[in-house]
Amino acid sequence: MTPDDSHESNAGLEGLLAAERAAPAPDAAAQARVAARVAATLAAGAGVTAATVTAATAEAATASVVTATSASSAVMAGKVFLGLAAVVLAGGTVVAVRLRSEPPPRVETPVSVAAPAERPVPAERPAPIDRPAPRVVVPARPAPPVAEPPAPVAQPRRVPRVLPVQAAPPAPASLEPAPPAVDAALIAERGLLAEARRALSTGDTAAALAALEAHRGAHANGRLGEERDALEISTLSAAGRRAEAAERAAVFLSRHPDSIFAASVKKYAALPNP
Amino acid sequence: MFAPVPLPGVPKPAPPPSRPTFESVYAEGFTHVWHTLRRFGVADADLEDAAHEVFVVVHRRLDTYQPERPLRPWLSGIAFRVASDERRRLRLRPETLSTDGDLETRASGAPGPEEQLSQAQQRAFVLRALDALPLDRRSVFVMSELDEISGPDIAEALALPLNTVYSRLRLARQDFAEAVRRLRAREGER
Repeated sequence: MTPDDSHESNAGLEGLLAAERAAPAPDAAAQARVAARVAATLAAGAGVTAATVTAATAEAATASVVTATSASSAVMAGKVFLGLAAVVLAGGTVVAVRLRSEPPPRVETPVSVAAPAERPVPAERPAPIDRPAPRVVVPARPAPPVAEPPAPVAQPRRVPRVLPVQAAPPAPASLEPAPPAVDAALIAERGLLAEARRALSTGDTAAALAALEAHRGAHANGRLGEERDALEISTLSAAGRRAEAAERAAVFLSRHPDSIFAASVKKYAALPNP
Repeated sequence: MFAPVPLPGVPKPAPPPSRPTFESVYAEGFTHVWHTLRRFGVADADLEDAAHEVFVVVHRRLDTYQPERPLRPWLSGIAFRVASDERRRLRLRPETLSTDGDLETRASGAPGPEEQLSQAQQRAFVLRALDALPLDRRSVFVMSELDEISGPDIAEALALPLNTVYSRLRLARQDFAEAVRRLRAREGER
């Protein structure tokens, strides 16, 4: 610290800052949840492609790629295997999502990221402010093997928000150049539906319905309304609200008799009321 | 043309570092991003949303990352922009100390030296004090004082002139010290 701190002792402030520097790592579950959401978002932005979700804890020196078919997470021997690999399509198809995707646009051999303290610093660069070197060392770890060459994943053109929040205008400080609004809206729609599918695949029908309702509120005239309604019907059925699902299914079929989702919706319309 | 002749005693230049994979950036940078977002003012309830957004941007912009540069300032720069955007859209803690919801995590109402506070309580205190700083100063302060990132790296990450970084850091230190003083005074009144 500097003489600027006229009101507080340097030692006292430094002690406070030291406590914050030693902040513990976030829990592995949060890291896994974010990984799943990132994977779902990337998959949604890519039009739903590929494969497996993997997350590694900050403490773990290694991580493994795990292909899973269920949407549950487990912590195993210091590794977090996020099994949220299943993204259920509206038609019932299950695909896996690979978070272990390549950096766009080129594919390179995975390498460890060297800790900042270990990097060569150009001689002409000034020294750090008041401190000679970074304290926190990012643990380097070997990259896990890749079973097969991953399919190229199209990059989302804009950050799709999974939350039920209407796309906001880009902030001046944003990294992104303003993309066409039409694409942003579509990606936002996809993000919400992906979130609903993810929640449904984990059995969290309430969250799935909330995401679908958010879609309805934010994109009342969106391009994926038909898909939303079909997904909502299956979610209602999964939630045990079969009568409501059947009623919605009948309405859906009357409005969209030629829908690509009609076949899957029909079975809910035929369900007997409990 | 002449073939290059190795000179005895002259080491070969090291090959340029390879670009990290997204997975490695995620695994190695998640904790940093998480803490940085919180220190930039993103509320606990919004951390997962903001972290999600950061790594979506990371995925898209990984080809712009220069592997020879440190990773954490680059991530901090993205986190700063996401925090700025989130501030407009999500629930954020106020930047002033006008509210009375301070230090609820403190177990005892009696004031005491920092040495007697648990680490968690000290963290809550620091975050509360950081809330007093405007984001432009707060970001520089966090990157310098907590992440120990150099001034030039901060300037590059935040796209600021170096003199601006130093100026904001000086003011931020004053702000932080004053915020700590005020919090302690308020704490002592209880």
